[in-house]
Amino acid sequence: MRVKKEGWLEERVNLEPIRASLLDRKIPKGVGWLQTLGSATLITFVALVVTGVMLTMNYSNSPDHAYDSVQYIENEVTYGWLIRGVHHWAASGMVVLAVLHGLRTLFSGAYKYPRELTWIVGVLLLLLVMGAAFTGYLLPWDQKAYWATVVGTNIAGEVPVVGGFVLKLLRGGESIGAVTLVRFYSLHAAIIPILITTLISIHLFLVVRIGIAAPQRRGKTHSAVESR
Amino acid sequence: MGNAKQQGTDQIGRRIFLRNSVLTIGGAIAAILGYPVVRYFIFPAVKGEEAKAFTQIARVSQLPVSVPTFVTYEERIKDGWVVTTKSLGAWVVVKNETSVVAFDPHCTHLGCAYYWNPDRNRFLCPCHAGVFDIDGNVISGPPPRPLDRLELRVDGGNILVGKTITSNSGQQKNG
Ligand code: FES
Repeated sequence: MRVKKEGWLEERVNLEPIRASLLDRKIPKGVGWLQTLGSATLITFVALVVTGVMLTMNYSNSPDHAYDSVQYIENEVTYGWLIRGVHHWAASGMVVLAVLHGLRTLFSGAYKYPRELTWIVGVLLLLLVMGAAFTGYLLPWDQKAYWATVVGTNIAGEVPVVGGFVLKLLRGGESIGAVTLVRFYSLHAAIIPILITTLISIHLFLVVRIGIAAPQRRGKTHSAVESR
Repeated sequence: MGNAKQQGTDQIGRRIFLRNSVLTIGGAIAAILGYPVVRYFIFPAVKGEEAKAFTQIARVSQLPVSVPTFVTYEERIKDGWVVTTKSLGAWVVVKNETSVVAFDPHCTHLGCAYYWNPDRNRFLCPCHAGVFDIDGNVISGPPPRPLDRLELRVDGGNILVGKTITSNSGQQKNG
């Protein structure tokens, strides 16, 4: 019980039950640092969105200007090096953390009933994170970016039957050029972030709704359902 | 837990203490992270004007003495990450080896291109009949102030110009 003293907002909107159901959840025994990997992944995503939006302010997605605009961000805009640096490292960090989060879920068996849907959404999220990392890699438009995308799209092109179609779909044509850069930019800065945000919302809703899986203990068949 | 507050006003409950700690530390982290973002965002508004580089436009020896000459030159313009060259011109008057003046080629009335008329020994503006003398002073017509000059340096016989300095009305007019 909290002391009843309602503020202006609380009196009108009554947010307390929402706060309570989000934060005053019962957490099973044995939950520890390993269960924070998901939140850590979320934090890197927030950092990526903030720095990414800032980068769009000075980035030009055309082959003539992409490289120079990145150099402009690095060398001339105040803290541009920091914003881009955080974006760069948080991108790698998010991939690593998402994988670790998935591995933890796998090895602790937390994907089982009743959390199958959370798991499936999580796997889709991992694929989207990979997609964001891959499309973002091209944007600096330097040698490394260019050839990584040549190789990456060639790999997609090797897929039986649909390979050629996927290759042209990704590149926006036969070869890598202006259209590829704009397509990747659109995927990286608009389409994929929207999908990730949507799926994260579903993922989090399910986590809160179903509750965190209790770690399994030796010799105990654990009941998966936690009281909310 | 909830009755921590009732126990006494000078005693801060654990819940309150933790909440305040989280808010303080969280706020500090947000401020530290937010500062560079804000600075990045407002950069164009606070960066200040870049010092314009001087461009070499001619050699003193190439120009006639005391006869205004129209000199064209190219200047590198930096727009963010885009560097372009722009063709510009100036009316240059050489008095002697060291005394050189360059006028911005736009009339101070409404910006028309004026020209030098050697017969009348005046700069004439075709738009509204503005007339200036060889020093840029207004002789007649609607121009509100003398011709604008360019920042100018003579360096080893080379004439270099920088940005346009808007002349202030009156001063040169009288002098
Ligand atoms: S613009 Fe030159 S006199 Fe009006």
